[in-house]
Amino acid sequence: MLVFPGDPLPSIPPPPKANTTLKVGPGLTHTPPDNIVVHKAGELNIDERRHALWIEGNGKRYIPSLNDVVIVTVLRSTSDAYICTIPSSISPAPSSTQAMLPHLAFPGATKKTRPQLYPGCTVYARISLANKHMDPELECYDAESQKAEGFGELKGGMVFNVSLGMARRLLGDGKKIRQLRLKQRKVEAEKGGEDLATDDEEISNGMEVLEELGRVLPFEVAVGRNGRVWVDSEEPKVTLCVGRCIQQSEFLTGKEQRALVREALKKL
Amino acid sequence: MPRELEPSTSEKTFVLEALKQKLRIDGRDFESFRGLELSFGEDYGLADVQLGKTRVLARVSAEVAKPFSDRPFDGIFQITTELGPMASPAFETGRQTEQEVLLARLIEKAIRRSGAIDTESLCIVAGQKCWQVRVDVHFLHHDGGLVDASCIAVVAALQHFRRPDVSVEGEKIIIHTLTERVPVPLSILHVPICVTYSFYHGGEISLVDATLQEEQLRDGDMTITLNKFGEVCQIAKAGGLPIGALALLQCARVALVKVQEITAFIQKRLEEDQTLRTRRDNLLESTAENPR
Amino acid sequence: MSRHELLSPEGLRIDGRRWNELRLFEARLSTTTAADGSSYVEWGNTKIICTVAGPVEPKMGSNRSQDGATVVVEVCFAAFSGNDRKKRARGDKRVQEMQTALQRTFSEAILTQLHPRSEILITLHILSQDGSVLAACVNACTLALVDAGVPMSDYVVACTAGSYFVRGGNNPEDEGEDPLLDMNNLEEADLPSVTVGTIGGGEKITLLQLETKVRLEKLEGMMAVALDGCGKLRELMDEIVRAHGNEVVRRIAL
Repeated sequence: MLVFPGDPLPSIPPPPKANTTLKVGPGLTHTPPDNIVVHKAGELNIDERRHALWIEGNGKRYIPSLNDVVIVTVLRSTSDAYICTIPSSISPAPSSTQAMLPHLAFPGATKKTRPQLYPGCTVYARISLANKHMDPELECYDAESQKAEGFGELKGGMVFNVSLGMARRLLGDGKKIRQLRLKQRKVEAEKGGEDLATDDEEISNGMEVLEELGRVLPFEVAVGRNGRVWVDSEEPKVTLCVGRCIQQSEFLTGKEQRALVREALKKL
Repeated sequence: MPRELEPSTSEKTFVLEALKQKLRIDGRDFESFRGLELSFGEDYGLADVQLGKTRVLARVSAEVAKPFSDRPFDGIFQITTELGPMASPAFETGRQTEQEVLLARLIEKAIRRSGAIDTESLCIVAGQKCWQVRVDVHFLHHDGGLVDASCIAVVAALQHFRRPDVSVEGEKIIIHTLTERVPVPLSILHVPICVTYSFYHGGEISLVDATLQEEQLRDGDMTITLNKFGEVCQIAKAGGLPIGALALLQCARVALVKVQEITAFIQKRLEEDQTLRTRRDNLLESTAENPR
Repeated sequence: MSRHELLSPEGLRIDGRRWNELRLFEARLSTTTAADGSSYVEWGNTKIICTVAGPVEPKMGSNRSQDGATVVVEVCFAAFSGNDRKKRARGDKRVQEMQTALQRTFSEAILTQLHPRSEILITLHILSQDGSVLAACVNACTLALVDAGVPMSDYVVACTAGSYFVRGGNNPEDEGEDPLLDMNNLEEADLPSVTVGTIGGGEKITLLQLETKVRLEKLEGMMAVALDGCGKLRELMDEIVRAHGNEVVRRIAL
């Protein structure tokens, strides 16, 4: 369901279990005691099982939020932190958000063993602090295991731009959205008395392109929620092929994505 | 002052490495332009050019003015360009940057100084009245190749433009409205088209129509303006990487082919627009409301 | 001035030169005491003073770069330099374009990486314009930079060339194009001309400016002639610099 800022919310289904709190996600503001207001245009998603609702939009500017994984670029180093920029998915915006990556925010880092990063480095990091009053802060280790888990400097490779929605889908958010959509369709079809031919791949979860590419090509990929995708492989042409396929697959169904990849592989 | 963010180290090394292997990020050949789109507006003299993601709009307008005292037999022809934040957040309004000055100068040299328009034909009464033709160039999206795109937009808009007809009877000058008399096209002597080359790896690699990313990483550039007859209207290589003379001449020869293609494309679009207009006008005239 | 007078049937140009002759090129180094380096160039009737300050601490923070020195060029046309007395505004687009061209040319030639976080300021005063102004500016800058001791990879030399259409009259075989070396003001006003700048007088071109319409086929000939002129000028400038150097050494010895 498409909603606009200020739209009234449809009735929220009752919680599956008693005492479950309602989870209010991005695009919605809760004003106590029980008023929820839409403040972003997009598609309203309601997950009945988890009793959560949020709005799926596709903006261009990235707004940092806690625990998001992002791909950032180091601007300069100060005495105790690297100053980084979190570029948005659109072409290099000069006013992209700046963030701090403390020198010691790496797994097992001490003053002497910390990794040396230079201006222009690409880093895969997690946002550890995000509020509206301060510049965000970054960390290069997993919050639970305290290990690197893939975070850190991304050496070599190439960074491609995708939309924010696409980046979220590439990180696996698409699966849930797809389930919700399928369910919704079923409900609608039942209402209309039609027989729904369930085509599993008609609604993409955004990952088919990577699955298909990964079956044939060896490559590494990292996706940042700020709409950046880093790809590396042995050969530039493979990297380019992967990057281009990802960029082109945004509005395609699962089947079309697979066809696109097969076409691209033929050319390679 | 906001500055465009420089590409990160990995992007820089990757783009340059890929170029060495004859690969461009968007999969083009070294010597091919991005997809060119050209459309005209409802009125005469509005051209909208899209070159890949770069988008430029040119608007031609004309009014009657007094000619300059040192050139009483010439009309006035002006081109104005302004880079605003609409094209890219890196641009500010009000302040003229170096890039903007160079762009304005290049367009001016390519079109005005090369005599693309016969300014003498704009004269109505010598020393007293002439047409002042003005082209306003608006940049809607900046993804590299601004010079090339705006040059195409300006020449297309000029060819598309029609000014009201004028008749002089003794002292009296009558400007006929567009409905009264068929408006007249400007007298265009030749159609200059710009081709910008970007150089990499000590001049071994030269690219046509670089994107913004490629522009940020280039070592040197050259803009060459030609018309389809093989006349060079302007060359600007303001410093940068030294390039062999023969390589530069080769670039110029390739540019000529590109220019011929683009000129033909503009011509095709102009003709399409003209047929559309004729058909529409015929339809309008044959409505029942009109007297027979 | 009508066109056919620019080249007489005997092959002499309006100032008596042949097609491949340069005008008299004279230059002095260390002409002003206040600057770190300076030069005065007289090329025919084109006269230019150039001063260099630097490498110095940048006045503006935006000119500070970790990678190397920033080159800043300021060009000033004297009001009395042209035929009519005319004051050029500071924001004149043509002047700004010249400044950018010079700045980019010299950023390439100067070994900027040796002086990070500093600025090299080049100021040019054009006292008299008689054609080939941009080329003369380049040459004056080079000499001033040499005088200032700024490290450069080689001399930056620039020269102009034009193209003259010879009418065959009754004999069509005589018809053709004659390239002309080193254009003066009158020639520049009527004929297509190209400015070519090289680093070291070789065949690699760093600066190329053409502002008038010319056929593509003629370009090659014009560029070849201009490059040849650059080679000659490099020798001339080298002589001037060496003579000046010897003079300095002699004075120290005394």
